[in-house]
Amino acid sequence: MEKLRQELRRGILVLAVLGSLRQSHYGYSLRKQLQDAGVDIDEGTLYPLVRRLADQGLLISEWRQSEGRERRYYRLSEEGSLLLASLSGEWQQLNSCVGAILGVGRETN
Amino acid sequence: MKLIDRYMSAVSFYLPARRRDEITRELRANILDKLENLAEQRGWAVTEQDVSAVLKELGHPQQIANSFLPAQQLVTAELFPFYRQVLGYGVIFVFVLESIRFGVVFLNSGHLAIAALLSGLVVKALLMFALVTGVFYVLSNPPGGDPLFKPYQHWIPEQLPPVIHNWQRIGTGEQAIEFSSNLFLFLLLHYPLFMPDEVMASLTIGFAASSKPWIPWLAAVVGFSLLFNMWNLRFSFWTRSKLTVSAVLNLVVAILLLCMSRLSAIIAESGVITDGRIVSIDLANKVITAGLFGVGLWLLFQCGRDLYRIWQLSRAF
Repeated sequence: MEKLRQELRRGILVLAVLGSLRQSHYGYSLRKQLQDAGVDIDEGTLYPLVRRLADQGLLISEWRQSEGRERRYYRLSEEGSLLLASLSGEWQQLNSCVGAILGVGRETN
Repeated sequence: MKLIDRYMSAVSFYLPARRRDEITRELRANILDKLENLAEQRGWAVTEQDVSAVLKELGHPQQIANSFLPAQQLVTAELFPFYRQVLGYGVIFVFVLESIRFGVVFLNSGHLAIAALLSGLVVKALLMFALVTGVFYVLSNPPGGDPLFKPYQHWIPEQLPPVIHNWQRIGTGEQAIEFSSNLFLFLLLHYPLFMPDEVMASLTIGFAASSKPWIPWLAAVVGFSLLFNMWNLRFSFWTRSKLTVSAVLNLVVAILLLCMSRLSAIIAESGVITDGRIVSIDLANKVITAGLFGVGLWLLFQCGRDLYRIWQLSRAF
């Protein structure tokens, strides 16, 4: 059961991270923003995911000094923005289709 | 040394040198942010126990380091069915190789080296397993990321075997046993053709005069069976025509073996003085004739099974 839940969440998390990084965030602030939005993701999953997206050229990163410490800030690259638009469309379509299926199931029950 | 430094040192140990600084620098910044946030929430500085709890929550250093690296698998899920098939063929190869070795040892010494056969099978099977797995590891993690080999890319639906019943598929184990036993018999029956003269002269046993007239017949049928086995390796499923060939072969070999089992002697001493390893030719002949009788009955059963299966397939069309 847990494995199925994780599989379902995996793809959605990428979409949530890309969506959040339309604005600049460093690792911990990104996690806070996702948490505040109701998407709970542990750090051991989030930080490697962000790095992988950056390695794929979907994010731009830069080191900045703030509050006496250095932090790595990420934001969407041009390629990342295009992917986000494409994935968002896909998500909206899937969401409405699956929503309709689930709705039908509930009505027949 | 602070706990966080120990953690970073442990994580960096599991990372490749070229990515070590970049990843640990960022990970450290993220952990410090979390600790800072924790201190703000509580209103006092964090303790070593708090740091320990945060690190514990983050995960084991090896696990964390691994999550930053591209996923690696010994064999990918996509290649796994093909990997299993290659292992199956590897088992056949090992069986054949060890059967040849076993046959050569038997002919040279008259000694049935069963223990050596078993240990040879285990060692060579492990070696084959390691070799095949190593090749598939490279195929699963190709340099540059582009797949080197796609086994399922080119296939044609029309070429799928016309299989109705599950028994029509010929298993790798079944093929391994049939092929290696036929090859062993083939080599045993043809040993004068490939053995050097000096080895022939030193053989301690040979076929008895009473069994010699049967050998060419048996050799011919076993040779044909080997060709049939190769055909089955290429097309691993039973059809009516293949079952007919199999039934005829099984019947012919069964008749030959049952007739030979009635002979007084199958093997005889060649006259070469031995170190006493051949305990008793009489006992060996009794074991061999009983074996021939048993195998003959088994092949008769297989012939009957083939005929029943031909009937089953005839009903299906």
